[in-house]
Amino acid sequence: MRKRRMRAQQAVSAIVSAILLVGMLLTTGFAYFAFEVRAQRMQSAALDYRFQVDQQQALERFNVMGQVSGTDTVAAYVVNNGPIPIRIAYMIVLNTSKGGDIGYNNTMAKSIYVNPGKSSPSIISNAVHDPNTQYSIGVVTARGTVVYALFPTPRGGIPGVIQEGLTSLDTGSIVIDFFSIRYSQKTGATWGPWTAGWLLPKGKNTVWAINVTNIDMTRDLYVNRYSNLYLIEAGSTLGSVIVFYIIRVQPDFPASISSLAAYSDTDRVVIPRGTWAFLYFGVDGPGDNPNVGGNLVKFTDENKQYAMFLLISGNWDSNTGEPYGQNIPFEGVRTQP
Amino acid sequence: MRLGKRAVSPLIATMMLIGVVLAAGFAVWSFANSATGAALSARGTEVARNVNQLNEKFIIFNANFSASKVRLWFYNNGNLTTQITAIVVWNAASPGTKTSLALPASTQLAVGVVTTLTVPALDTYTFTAGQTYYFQAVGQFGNTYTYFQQA
Repeated sequence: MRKRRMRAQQAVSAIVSAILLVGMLLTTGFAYFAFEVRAQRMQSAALDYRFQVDQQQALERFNVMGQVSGTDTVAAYVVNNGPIPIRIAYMIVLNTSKGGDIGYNNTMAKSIYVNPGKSSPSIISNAVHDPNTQYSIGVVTARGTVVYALFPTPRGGIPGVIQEGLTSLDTGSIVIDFFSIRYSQKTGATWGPWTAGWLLPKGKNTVWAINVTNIDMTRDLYVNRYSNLYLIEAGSTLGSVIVFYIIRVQPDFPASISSLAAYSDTDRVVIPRGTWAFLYFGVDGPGDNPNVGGNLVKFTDENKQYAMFLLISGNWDSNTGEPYGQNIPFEGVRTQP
Repeated sequence: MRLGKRAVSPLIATMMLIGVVLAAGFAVWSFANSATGAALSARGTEVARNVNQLNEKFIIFNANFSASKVRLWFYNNGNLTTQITAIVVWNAASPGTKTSLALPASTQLAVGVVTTLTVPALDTYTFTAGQTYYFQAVGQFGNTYTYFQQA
């Protein structure tokens, strides 16, 4: 009887010890386990975020195009050539003639998004434009990609290899930025935004915008009112022809059209040597007034395909300088209902 | 039968044993808990440092030179506010000679904001026009960014 009682007392102590040990394991071990799980999640999330940001930043591709705003300040717009949208965080304008000193800069609202294949609206700085100054315009995206562009394009800025190649092919002094071509169509009294693409609706007055560069480093080209976009319908026999003659557009691309003006006999678009400019086309005769509705051009048929030619006519270095003409076959256009 | 020898009663003995076990167990538990707490604290610091390092990101995209100081344009494209803890400069002509620049009073970079830091006048370093200089900035959590520009 006494032995049994003693055995029972020993059994109680062992149970208490076991309970204590288990309790220690649960409280300390579980706390550590729970913390470690949470820590792993935090690190994994941070790692995923960093990987995603770096990957997206590597996909950003865009060009910066300088211009002069309507208020005579330095401005620029961004063309997104990459596969993902970009958000513009900052633009800086540097006066390069001061050897990198900051001339002017501007911080705009961080709300400019540019989708792939699209252009941003004009980003206007507070730098008053000096035509004798070359500027360096830098754009920073929210992901941290930076692109700088010189404005205006410096003389000799066109890579020598490209110039040499084009000259040797005898393709002329005017080069098209193929992916810059845009059209705007009028609905009622309002012109729509500039749209990229080669499929457009019939039945609406249409204005075209094309970015061209004068790769001749020795002469300025004075483009006259006889320049046009010449479209000929594709088919087994000679199809219809539609011609858009050059006009003046305000404000400049990429802003939507607010006014049009005719080209007089003495009007010229000057494309300085080594520099680009936008040309606009929209009337059916040289020098026609685009503010007379009947003079604007529209596609009348749907499901038609056209070959587009850019016919440049002008003079070198003045209105009456050496004549120049060039034909650039470059586009295919199709109409839809 | 021997009389006179007294001993603790079994009940009291049991209670004493339980008390000893509890005391010893509590002591061991306290020690284990304290050790675990220290390990957790160290682990937490390490995790926080890793996470902050992954979230920290910044660039330099412009430099404005004068003879004895330079103004750097920073943009924080990361996920947290950080500070610049060091800026090292060297000349492209002598890349082995690196100089740490004195930092301005505030070097904080807020997220999504462009911040300019003007490095105060230096006694030992001057910038020569036409030469290319490299700037390496070190962030609070160990990330670096190197930028170069001609003065």
